[in-house]
Amino acid sequence: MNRMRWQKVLKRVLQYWYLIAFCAFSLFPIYWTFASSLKTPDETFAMPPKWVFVPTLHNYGVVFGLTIGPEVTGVTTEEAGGGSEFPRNLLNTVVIAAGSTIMSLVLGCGAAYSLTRGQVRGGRTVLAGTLLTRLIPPVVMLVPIYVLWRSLGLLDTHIGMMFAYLSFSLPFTIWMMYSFFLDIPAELEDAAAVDGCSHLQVLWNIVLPLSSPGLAATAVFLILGAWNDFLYSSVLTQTVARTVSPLILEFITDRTILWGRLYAAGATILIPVVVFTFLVQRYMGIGLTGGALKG
Amino acid sequence: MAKRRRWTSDRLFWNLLLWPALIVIGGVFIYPLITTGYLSLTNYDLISPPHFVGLQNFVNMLSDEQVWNSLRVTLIFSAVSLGLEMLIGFGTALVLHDIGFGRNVVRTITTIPIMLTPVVIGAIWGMMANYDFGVFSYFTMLVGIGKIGWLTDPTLAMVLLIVSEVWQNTGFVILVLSAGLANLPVEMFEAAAIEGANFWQKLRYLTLPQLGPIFNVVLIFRVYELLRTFDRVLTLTNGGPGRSTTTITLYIYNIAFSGYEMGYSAAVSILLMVLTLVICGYSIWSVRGT
Repeated sequence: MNRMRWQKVLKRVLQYWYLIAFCAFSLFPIYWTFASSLKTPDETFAMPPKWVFVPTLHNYGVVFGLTIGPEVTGVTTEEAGGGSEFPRNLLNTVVIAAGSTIMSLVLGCGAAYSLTRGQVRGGRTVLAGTLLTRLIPPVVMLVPIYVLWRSLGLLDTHIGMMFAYLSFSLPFTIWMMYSFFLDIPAELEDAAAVDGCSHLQVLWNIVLPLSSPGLAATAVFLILGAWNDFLYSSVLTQTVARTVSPLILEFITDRTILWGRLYAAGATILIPVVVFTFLVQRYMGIGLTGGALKG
Repeated sequence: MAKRRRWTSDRLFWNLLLWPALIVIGGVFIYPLITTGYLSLTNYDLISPPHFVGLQNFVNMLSDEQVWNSLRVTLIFSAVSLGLEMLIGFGTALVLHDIGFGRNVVRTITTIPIMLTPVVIGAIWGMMANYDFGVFSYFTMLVGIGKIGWLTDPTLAMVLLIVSEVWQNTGFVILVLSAGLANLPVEMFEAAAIEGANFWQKLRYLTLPQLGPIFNVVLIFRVYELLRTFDRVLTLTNGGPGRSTTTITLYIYNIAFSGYEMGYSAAVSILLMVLTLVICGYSIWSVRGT
């Protein structure tokens, strides 16, 4: 009896130690990014690293173009010039992510709703098609979209980026919202129709509110998909519509690494993502597997 | 009754809802996809008009050492990462399933890395692994190994890449598998316990068969993402040292935007697409069977 109890306690202790270690491991690089972003150039390169220090917003000032100050490059400490593209790129990222998400939701919900209720011919083919698009790596479309955008004058434009993202976000939205709309009992809509509601009223007043968790989950994944993208934004933008991802790459050259800017810019990019993750805890399972577990 | 019949067959409305989306998909997905096929049969270089060369690109691919190298890199990276993510993920999910308190906290914490921007993550891991100033050097000196040149050794660079990938995405496996474990019928396990089954027997005969479909789904999602790894490689190692971590997407990207060989790039990207479709398609097909 005693021995079994000891074994159980030991097992619990080991399990919790493992979980604590795993969580620490998961959080450490994130903590390191934020902590390093608040260090002065000297502290950044201190070896052994400084765990306790006085935080300063110097790096953020440099990366947002607000400060001119010593900048650490890993080889030398240079005087950074004033001005930075980061603020504008950040704004571009926000605008493009929001815009493409809205477009995707509007077009996608409409299509998904018509596929659930509308008995459209070829509806099954469309659905199978949206599933198939999820198996195609985005790099396959990269060159044609670049060539096409170039001839259409869509390179380095916000609207061009929004449309480029639609190539993957729209099928995703249709697939996700289709399964969420299916969950809404048809009787509710029929009842509303009997009461005299038009199609649009039913969609707007009944179906969409009822599927708002699904809408929210889909929106989060769309926003994050645009926010985290690098491949398309590095190829399809140059200066005007540049997003933050390609800028991060520019901070790393063969000669130098702009440590301060990297940490501050990186932290700035990651903050909204971390916040979002907390907000949508409940929807993670649904969104990440895209309803695949249901079907 | 007449109203109801009109309701579902109100063709105009439904088509008005559906077709804008289809047109957009046609323009930004189907058309580019077909164009890739077309470009792969040309030697387009963005300057002169495309010139048809038939299957020459594909023939060249077979003898291109870099294609084979990047395939090998991608497959090794994907296989090892996948194996680690599934093992650690499943093990952690099992532990989570066993404990009562703290489940949600752990799940939240382990899912934070998943959503983070891969370009940024690659840069951060690169800085942490820096020989002179990286915090990893501090840790390895602490345990007496001394500083390690992660980014200058081909094998270590691959290890670093794999670790950064596993660090980021194991949380996904944990999330989905622990949800699956939570949905397993309890009575089954209680009956087995009464019959005297031990942990490993329960695992093998009850848990694994029940979780089979969910395992498959996780696998498909992970494989798809792993095969197209690009962002994190670019900022972490830029394919180096040499070409030891050049994944196939990175090679495709370089062919197109460093070498401007659009046709060849399209051809290699078709190779990647076929590879992805075959591997993921096979997994999906085997799920349908159950």
